[in-house]
Formats: sequence, C-alpha cells, structure tokens
Amino acid sequence: MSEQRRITFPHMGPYWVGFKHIGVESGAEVIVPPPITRRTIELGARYSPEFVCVPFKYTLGSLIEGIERGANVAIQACGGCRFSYYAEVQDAILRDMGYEVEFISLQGGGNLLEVMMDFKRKVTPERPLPLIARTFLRAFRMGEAIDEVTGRVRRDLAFEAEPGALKRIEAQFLRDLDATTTPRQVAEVRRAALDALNRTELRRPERPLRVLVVGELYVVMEPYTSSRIEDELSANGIEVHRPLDLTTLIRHSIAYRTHVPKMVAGAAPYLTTHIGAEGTESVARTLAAIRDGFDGVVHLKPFGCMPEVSAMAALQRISREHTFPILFVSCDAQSAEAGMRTRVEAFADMLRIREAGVLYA
Amino acid sequence: MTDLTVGIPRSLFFHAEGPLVCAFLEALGVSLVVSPPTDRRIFERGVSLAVDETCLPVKIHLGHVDALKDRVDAVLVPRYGVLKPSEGEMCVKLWGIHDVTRNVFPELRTISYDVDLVYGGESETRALTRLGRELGASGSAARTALARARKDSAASRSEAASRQERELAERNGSPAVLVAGHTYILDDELMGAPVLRLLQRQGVAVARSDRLPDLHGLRKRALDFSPGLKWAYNREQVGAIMEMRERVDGIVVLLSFPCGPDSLVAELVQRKIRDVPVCVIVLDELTASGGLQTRIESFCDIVKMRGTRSAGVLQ
Repeated sequence: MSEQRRITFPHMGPYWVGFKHIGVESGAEVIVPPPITRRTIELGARYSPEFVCVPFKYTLGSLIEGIERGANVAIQACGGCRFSYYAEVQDAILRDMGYEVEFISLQGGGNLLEVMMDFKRKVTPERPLPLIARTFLRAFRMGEAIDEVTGRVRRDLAFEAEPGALKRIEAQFLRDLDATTTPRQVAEVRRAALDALNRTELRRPERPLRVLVVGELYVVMEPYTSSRIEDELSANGIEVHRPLDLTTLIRHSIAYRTHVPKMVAGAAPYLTTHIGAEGTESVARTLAAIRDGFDGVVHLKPFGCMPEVSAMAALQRISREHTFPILFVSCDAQSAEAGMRTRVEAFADMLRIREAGVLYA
Repeated sequence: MTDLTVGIPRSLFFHAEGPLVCAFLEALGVSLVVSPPTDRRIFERGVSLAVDETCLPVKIHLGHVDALKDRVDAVLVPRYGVLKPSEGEMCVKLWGIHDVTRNVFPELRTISYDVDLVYGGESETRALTRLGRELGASGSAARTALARARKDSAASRSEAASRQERELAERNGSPAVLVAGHTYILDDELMGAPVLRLLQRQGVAVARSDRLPDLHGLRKRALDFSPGLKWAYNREQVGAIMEMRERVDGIVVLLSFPCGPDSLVAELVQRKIRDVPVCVIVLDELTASGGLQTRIESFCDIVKMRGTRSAGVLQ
C-alpha cells in the first residue's frame, strides 16, 4: 500500500482515548474525530435512513467528521441488534457520498477477543498477535481507569463544594491518560486522579436522593445524545449511578453465556426470556435498584430502539406495581437541552416530594 | 387432552408459522380460536395499548390479543429468537413479544414455545413437542402430529408458490412487480392487503417475496448481496429480490414504521439495486389511502413505461 493509513472511528464519550491508543500502537496514524456536536448529528441525520436508531446517525456523522479531517480508513465495531448491521450500510452511504475510504467493520458481536482477532486480520496483519493483545489489554486498562474515574465523578458531582472542581479533575485525567504509553503510567494517572477526587471537598447530605441510569449502550455512554442528562440530575442534587459502562459491557459480552441467563433471572417475573441487547439488563437493573433503595430510575433509549421499547412494557408495569418513579427518555436527532432540563427538574421535584412523604391523593 | 380453549392472534408469527402450528395443535385435538382479520377496532385497541414507539405490527398484535382475551382460556404467543446460522435470527422485537404481551396483559394466561439456539430456547421440533406435552398429549402423539403438520404446511406453501409462478408465466406481457415485505405485513388486512389490491387494480402481475419456492435457500442466497444480514425474514426478502430482479419490472418494498431491520435493509436495497425501479412504501398509523393510491399509481406508470421502452429496444 502506497498511501499512509489514517484511521478514524466514531466518538463515544470519553473512550476515544482507548480507541486512539489501539490505532497508534498498531502503527497507523489516528485521526480522532472532534467531540459530538450539533453539527455531527445534523450531518449524520442528513445522510442516514430516516428511522434508523439514532446511534447510527451519530456514529455516521462522527465518521464523516473524521474523514473531513483527513482519515482514509473508517473503523466501526459491531454489536448486538441493529448495531451488527451499521457498518455495511454506513459503508454504502459513505461510498455513495463520494468518499474514498476503506471501511473496516470489526466483527465479533461485541466480544472483545474476537474483535481483537478481526482487528489483527483487517488492520495490522503483519503484527504478531501477542503485541496486539498487549495493545488491547492496555486500552482495556485505560477503559477501566476511565470507568472508575468518571463513575466517581458521576456519583459525587452533585455534592462538590466548589463548582467545577470534579469536572476539572476528570478533564485533566483524560489529558494525562492520553499521554501515557505504558501500563504503569496508566495506573499512575488513574491513582493520581482518584487521589485528587478523594481530596476534593464534598458536601454530601446524610441521605441524598439516588438515581440509577439504565438503557441502551450508546446513549448512556455518549452524554451529548441525552443532553447530558446525568449532569442535569447532579445539578438537581441527585447522586447518580450507572451500572453500564464500556468495560462492564465488554466483560458481559465475553461471558454472555452466563451473563444473559443471570439478567433474565434478575428480570423475573416481568421477563421470562432474553429480549435482546441491553433490554433484559434494563429490567433486571431496575428491579435491583428498587431492592437497593434507590429513589428512582432514568431509562435512556434511542427513539424506536427495539429491545428497550420491549423493556418499557415491563418497566411501565414495574413502575405501576411498585409505585416506583421511572423517567423514560427517548433520544433522537432533535434533543434539546432546555426541554431535558425541565423534565429532569420535574422528576427531581417529584422524587423529593415522595421522599418527604407528601402524597397528593 | 387439555380442555383449554387456546386463542391464536392473527398477527406476527401467525402469518408465516401459523399454518404449521395451528395444524399441529388441531391434530392434537386442542380447540383453537383465531382472532378475526385486523379491523379498525383491533387496530385502535392495539395502538392505545402499546408503547408509542412500538412498530405497527406489534401494536396490531396487541389489538388481536385484546380481541381474544375474554373469549379464550389462554393465548398462544410463540417466541422465535436465534435460529441456525444458515437461517439467521428474528428481529429482537419478536424475541420480546411474549414478554411484552404478558406485561401489557398481566391478568391474561399466555402459553408459549421458545425457538432459540443461543438464548435459552431450543429447536422448533423440540419446542413444539414440549408445547404438545404441556397441553396433555403424549410425546409420541406430539411428534407424529408435528411431522404430519410439517408435511401439510410445506405442501400448501409449495402450492402457493407454484400458483404465483403460474400467474407470472401466464401474465401475457403485462408488467410484473415484486412486493418484498414481511408476511405479517403482506397478509394483514389493514397493512399489506390494501397495497396488494391497489397494485392488482393497476393491471400489473404481483409476485410476493414470501411466495417463492425455496425460502430457506433464499435466506442463504441473501448473503451474497449483504454478507452481514442476520434477520431471517429480511434475508428471505433480499434473497427474493436477487432471485427476481431480472424477471420483474419493478420492486415495491413494503415496510412499517419504525421497523428496525427494515430501516437499514430498505436503505441498502435502494442504494444497491439500480437496474430496476424500486418503490419503498412505509406504512404507519396515519397512512391515508389517497396518498397510497397516488404513489402506487405513479409507480405503476413508471413500471409500465419502462416495460414498453425495453420492449421497443428489443424490437
């Protein structure tokens, strides 16, 4: 091949650090697409099928923005449900748009080990497998660091004494992580960020309101898609927890033969079988949240998301039978921050009224 | 044998797999009640019961269950999930349809069988045999009845395919249109039937994607067009398009809003089929018959013009 390969990939929350690392380590030049903005989704929506789920539109827009910055190789992963079919259609769309890019779809149904094998086959066939395995493992460690640090920030954000302190630490952490080249450095950066978080002054009430966020993987992990609903919850004084992050998802996908039955059992009696992707998990986690004394659940999904719409039938019944507050949010290409703020405020007010035991008959 | 009266909703799996299942249960002596063809009432009940973003066929399914629920002891809602790799898998909406039905009708008794080779189910043979035993038949009676029902439903399927083939062969120069769509849409009185009738009224010969001889072969053949396509019904449709694209003068892709698999497959078909006119019709709750008629008329005009032009070239 004469031309240097310049790889791009779709943006998803803070995980670009790990994705970039994999590309760089494999010897390619990596073009990190800009963060998701209004322009990304406008681009994506313009060239996407009308009622495809919205992560398709976001990731297409993100790939286009990477290609505009000079990438000539687009990498898209594949997962469950419609996600397994994104790559083929996005490839056809980019081709029809006139972009001359090599489109690589990493197969493996979300199973990291198979994705890695496919990466070797399609991107760096000349590199020995142990080297690639080491790169992927290091990227996975980066993902774990990201998940631990952002998870802490998510939980504590509502209570920081000095506004902006935690997000500053998170941003610094991602910059430092991006500069690491060895596993030891990853561990150091992670430690430093956690220390900084531990030193930050928090004013946590004795019993804060606690909300669990569940739903489809892309919209829970890319904050732009939900108009940063987790930050909005924090702004309303709520402690936010979210069981699904990228490394957890990867672990589940490797162990799906035990994980899925566990989730189906956890979703009983509302579900008897697996309803696809994270749908079963959304139901099981909601039931667990009720048992664990959470004050409410926020359910996020792309408009028309098949498994999560099925989950909603169960979640609506759970909400009714357990008198448990669930905020249902459908993310599409037109989400507006002001509308989201109002909905979250109303939800927070309702949780507080409920907590105070005030009931309007 | 059980003295339950079992309700069969005329929706979703009923249209493609129903002939087999009904023949099987009837052979076992189970008394069945099939809901009537979809009408406005069923449709409106379904729309009011479903989550807004549910696809139209699932909404209609819930309407059918509602129409049955006071007349029967239990309603049969099968689940089909992941099939053999050569067959593909069902849309995840259909993976969840039994549980969705249970949650929308918590008081209703449902019975089900689960065909899935990855997530907890079993093969169709085992699943139906188990269902037969649950309804009080012996294992051997169930196996005999199933073999019998398979033979009968295969025979009627192949008869429908030959009839379609004959009609195509004897159409006397009038243009032919392939309608690609899920059987549960094409067979539905409110969704597919009006479209098929409008096409026939335009004087074109209509071939249906689900009335070709070897649907299993089509499921494999579709992979030449789209290697990553995993949904079984979509594979049949794409396979049918590959099989028929040179024999027809136009292709109508009929889908419903907001169908997940079709949203992608229809896009790919439109982008990759350039030699035959393709018309994608999206049915939703608000489909107005006037608009539908205009679209079909103008599409048929294109098809007919194209037919005469190519005939001219041939001369």
